[in-house]
Amino acid sequence: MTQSAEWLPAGAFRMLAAFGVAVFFLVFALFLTAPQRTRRIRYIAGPFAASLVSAVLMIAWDLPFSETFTSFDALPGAVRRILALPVWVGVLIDLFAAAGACFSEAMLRRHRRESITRASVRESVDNLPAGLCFALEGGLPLMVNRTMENLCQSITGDGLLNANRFWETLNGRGKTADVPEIEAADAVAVRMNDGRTWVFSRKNITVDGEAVVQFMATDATDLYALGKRLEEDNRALADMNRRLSRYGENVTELTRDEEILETKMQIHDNLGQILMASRVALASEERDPAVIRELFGRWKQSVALLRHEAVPETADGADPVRQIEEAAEAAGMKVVFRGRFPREDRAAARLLFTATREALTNAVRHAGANELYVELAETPGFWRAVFTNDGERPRGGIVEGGGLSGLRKRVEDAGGSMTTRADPAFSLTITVPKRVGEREERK
Amino acid sequence: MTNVMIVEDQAMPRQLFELFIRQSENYELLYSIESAGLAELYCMRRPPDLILMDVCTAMGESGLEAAERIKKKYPEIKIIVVTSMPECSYMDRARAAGVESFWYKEISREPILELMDRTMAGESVYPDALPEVMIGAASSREFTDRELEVLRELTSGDPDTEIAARLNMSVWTVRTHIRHLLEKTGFDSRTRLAVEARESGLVIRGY
Repeated sequence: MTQSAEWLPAGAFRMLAAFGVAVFFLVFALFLTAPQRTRRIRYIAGPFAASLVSAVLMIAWDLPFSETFTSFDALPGAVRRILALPVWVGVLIDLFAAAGACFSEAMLRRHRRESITRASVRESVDNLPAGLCFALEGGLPLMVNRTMENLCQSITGDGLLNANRFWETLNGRGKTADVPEIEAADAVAVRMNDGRTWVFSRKNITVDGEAVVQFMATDATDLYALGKRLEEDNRALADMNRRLSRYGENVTELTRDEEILETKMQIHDNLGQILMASRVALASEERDPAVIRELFGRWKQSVALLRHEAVPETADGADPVRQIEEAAEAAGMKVVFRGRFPREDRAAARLLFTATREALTNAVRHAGANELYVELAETPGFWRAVFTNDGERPRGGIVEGGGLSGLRKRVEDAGGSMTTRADPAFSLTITVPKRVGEREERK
Repeated sequence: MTNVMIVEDQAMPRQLFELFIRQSENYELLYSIESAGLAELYCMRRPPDLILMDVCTAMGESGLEAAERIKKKYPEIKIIVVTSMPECSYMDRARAAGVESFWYKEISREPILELMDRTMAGESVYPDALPEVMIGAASSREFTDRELEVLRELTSGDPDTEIAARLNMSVWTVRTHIRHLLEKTGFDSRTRLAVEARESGLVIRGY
């Protein structure tokens, strides 16, 4: 010891060595507490090496080397060279070690702050506004967050012990509660007592090769309310469109009613004028026969027009069957109706009317027929009409010209059907849907 | 003597036409019927020389379609389309069908008998312009042809997809037209637009 003191500043050396040991332990502590092996190595590699050097220096000084190596010169060459290093090298090495340790500590702190630990996962999952539960397929919960636990408590009155049983309870309750079922197969909406609506969904996932069932509960109160409003709005819209469509059907009549009223007012105005003119004519001394005749003519006109006021008008004119029979007669044909013409079902009556006049026109023009037979029948939901005639059957099949193809479009657009046959005789069959439902709806 | 057929489903105007014809010296009333669909059948055996044809007639039958059919088979029969509906497409359709003359029941100043005389003399008389109809803040003349087509279909109450399919347009085109129509008229809803358009008679579906 004493020998070394002669050529080494012993006090400084001792101090440095003690400092090195401290650094060594600090680094060792870091090594133990670092969360990840790779990071541990990276953090400690530099400082550890530095402190190792310090330790060697300390050992070189402190151990009774002197007994083995009686003089400095007796020390092995490598040790001698290290010991011969100037003091500032040791200081530098220690400063490096200290800086490295501080750096390591700082890194570690940052890492702790930013990395996810088991506890931090748990904490954030608990703070989720959504309910979350992972369970084994058998129902054993692996993890239940606070929201899910609370939901389970308020629904079942008990904690979540078996996820599958909880799911069954939800499904049973979701159906009975005043909540329409969500469209998805594995989801159910439940209205809680506090008025909020939660949607529970189930999903199979795989975690590290293991099958796990994930249950989620989402607060869908706002979404649900919006959805409900949308549904109502859509219903209102559909209703409005239906009314608009019906209005379209009837507005022609309304416009006509206005016209009729206007014409009537004109006639009444006329009548007033004639009345005045008549009074003037009657009051005057000279009675011009020409004037009287003219007045009489005008009276006759107005009365003739007014007589029709008493006859109630329908939008579709006179009886459709009579209209057709008269037209057929004008064309030299006879129409034989069998069955009842559905006069009360306006849309159907119009289609059947069009079909009949089309069949009639074709019978005259193409078949040279004298009679058209119309067989009307009623089937559930439909009116059916079969048209045949006593003319020649069409040769080479039936070509649906403008009339028939137009009729087909109208019939099919209305939800009916149309078929034609050329063999053994020409026949045309159409079905048109009844509109009973809509009439009831109107009431 | 000119034989006339009246196709008109309302008693009041029909009686008026009948009266005019009976009082005139040149015309004779041959038929007076209510549904245009049957007019062709009356032309088969003893055709009239002139038809006064309403557009919206009994049993939902279109006078314009009937006129087209009759003109094809019997081009020598002269037809005057008479209507009270300002529907913008009627005049063009009548022209396309080969109808000689066109008369608005309320707006045309010329008496119907005079028009019948001119038509029988070989003239073709159409009103100079479509009747102008106000829809909201817009005059019917401000609308483009495509807009009017969309407007007509809009009165059906069908969804945009169906309207688009019927007009061979994309749904977006239909919606753009509707937006323009709403901007022009100043209405805030399509229902209002449809109702006002239909009520004005500018667009009528089905005849």
